[in-house]
Amino acid sequence: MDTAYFLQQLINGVTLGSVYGLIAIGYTMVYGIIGMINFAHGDIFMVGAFIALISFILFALTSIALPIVLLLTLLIAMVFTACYGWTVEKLAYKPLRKSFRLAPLISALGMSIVLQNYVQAAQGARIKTLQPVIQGGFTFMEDTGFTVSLSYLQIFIILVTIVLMAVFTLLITRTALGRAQRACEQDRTMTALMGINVDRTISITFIIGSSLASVAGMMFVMYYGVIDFYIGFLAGIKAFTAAVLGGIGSIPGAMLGGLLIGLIEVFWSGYISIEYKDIAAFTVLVVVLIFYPTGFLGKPDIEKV
Amino acid sequence: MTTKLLDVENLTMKFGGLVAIDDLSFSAAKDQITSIIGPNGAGKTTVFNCLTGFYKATAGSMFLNKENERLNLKKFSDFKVAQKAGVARTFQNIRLFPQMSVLENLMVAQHNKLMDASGFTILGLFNASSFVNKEKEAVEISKYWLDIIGLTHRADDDAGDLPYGDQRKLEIVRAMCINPHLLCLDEPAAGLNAKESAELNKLLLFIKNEKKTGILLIEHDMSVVMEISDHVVVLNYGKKIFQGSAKETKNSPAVIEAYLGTEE
Ligand SMILES: Nc1ncnc2c1ncn2[C@@H]1O[C@H](COP(=O)(O)OP(=O)(O)OP(=O)(O)O)[C@@H](O)[C@H]1O
Ligand SMILES: [Mg+2]
Repeated sequence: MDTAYFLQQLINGVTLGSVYGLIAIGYTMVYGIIGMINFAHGDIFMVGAFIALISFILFALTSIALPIVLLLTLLIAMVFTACYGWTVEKLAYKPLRKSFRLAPLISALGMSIVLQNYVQAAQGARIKTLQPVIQGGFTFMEDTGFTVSLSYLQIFIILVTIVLMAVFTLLITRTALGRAQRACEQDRTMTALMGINVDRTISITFIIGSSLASVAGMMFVMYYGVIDFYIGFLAGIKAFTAAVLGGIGSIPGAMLGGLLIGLIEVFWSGYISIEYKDIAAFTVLVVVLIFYPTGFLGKPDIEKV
Repeated sequence: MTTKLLDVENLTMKFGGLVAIDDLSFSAAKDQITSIIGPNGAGKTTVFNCLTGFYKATAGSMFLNKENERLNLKKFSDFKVAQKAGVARTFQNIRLFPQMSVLENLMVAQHNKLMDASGFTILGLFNASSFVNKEKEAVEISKYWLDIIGLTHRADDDAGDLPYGDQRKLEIVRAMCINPHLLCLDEPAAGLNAKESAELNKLLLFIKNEKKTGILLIEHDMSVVMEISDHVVVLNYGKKIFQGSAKETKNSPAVIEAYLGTEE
């Protein structure tokens, strides 16, 4: 019974960690390239969840096969949410790029409120529900008295996350675009003098971050079945915690941090107390930062002359 | 007669009441090294900042003559200075990408052609042959330059870990990887020892002779200036006080006075 229970928590934790990890990448990439915390990112995730929900509801009226519905919803959510992320950057951050450091931060808080209120006005304040899209799964260890279940949905979430993370890691490490992004992180002036369009590179970073967050949103609505305009707040803060825990600015760090936060939260609820699950992640963060001030995989600030 | 690559005409740059450049005119030729010298604060770096769009000149004009077009440099700023006008520059202090490898520093400079070949990254992700070939070509070009400055064995080390002198050289060849028409170097010999300065001279002469790239050189190290300059422009308080060959400059009373001050 004990191993079975543990195994179940592990499965749930990895699933939740996937969602946090996908959101955390957006925080970490934006921080890496322009050194700001995009407080509106959690709300971009929420917008992604709504777009996925609407897409699922519309497809439910058709007789398109499930795998195609999943794929199309994924694409629709990514494309539309990317447009939101891109617009937010253009409207709220780009005009402030040469301003004082705190300006885009305040503007981000403003964008967060704008997005929440926009969705609240457009979709209503009440929770929205989604019928399970993927049902069924495997069960095992039934003889121990506690049945461990691994649903197809969980497999889907974990697989999609792994694939996307692999693709985007390749993108950052292997392509000219990724190289330009890393160059921007270190010295934007010099990057521009290499003939690289820095503004465009920053825009693309927002597009990538937003589309990954939208996938997290899609997973979230499929997994929990309920969303409202406010889900971006808590999920955003936890994903941000994940990014800091892993080392903000580091993409593998964001993935690791996401996984850890997911596991911590689930194990805390499973073994300690479900009421206080939301503070678990933050407590661990504080403890970790005492010993690793730049997070697990973060690098110390480079000095700019 | 050599062809003029750069024409600076009546350039003036004021910061409030301070006239940093005062009605400056000079030309730089395509296959020559043109040095700009002058005491501290003479306005040398400000000339570069005007040329590369960092400052908007108060008055005057700057033209870059390519094969069959004459570009007004005032119209270029930000990334277009390198991408469209083909002007590369370095700064007085070293500005490599310290946490990227030596090779990657040179690859970043070749970004635009790679980006085109990668069909906006999408093809790059799928390892399309057009991208793979271009990437290979860019690596070859990078290795070519690393070989010239003798850093092939350090290609995969972080640029920030190189000794100072090697960082200077890497910065210059990185600028060359943009494939520029005009290379503007701001005090590349600063902080180099005699042996390193000699190597720098060799590199700059190679760039001039083999790559036919025009070089605009700001330098305090007279061993560099006198040895390799074809043409020297001397500034003092923003004004051009002399121009001529290296030898003429060395013997000019006006230049000596600007550097040593008058005895009065
Ligand atoms: N952005 C600016 N605002 C105000 N004054 C400036 C600015 N940039 C340069 N100056 C002034 O213009 C003058 C010329 O400066 P510049 O940096 O071009 O000198 P320099 O010849 O490169 O000197 P050095 O040999 O010390 O590098 C100086 O008096 C400097 O203080
Ligand atoms: Mg200077």
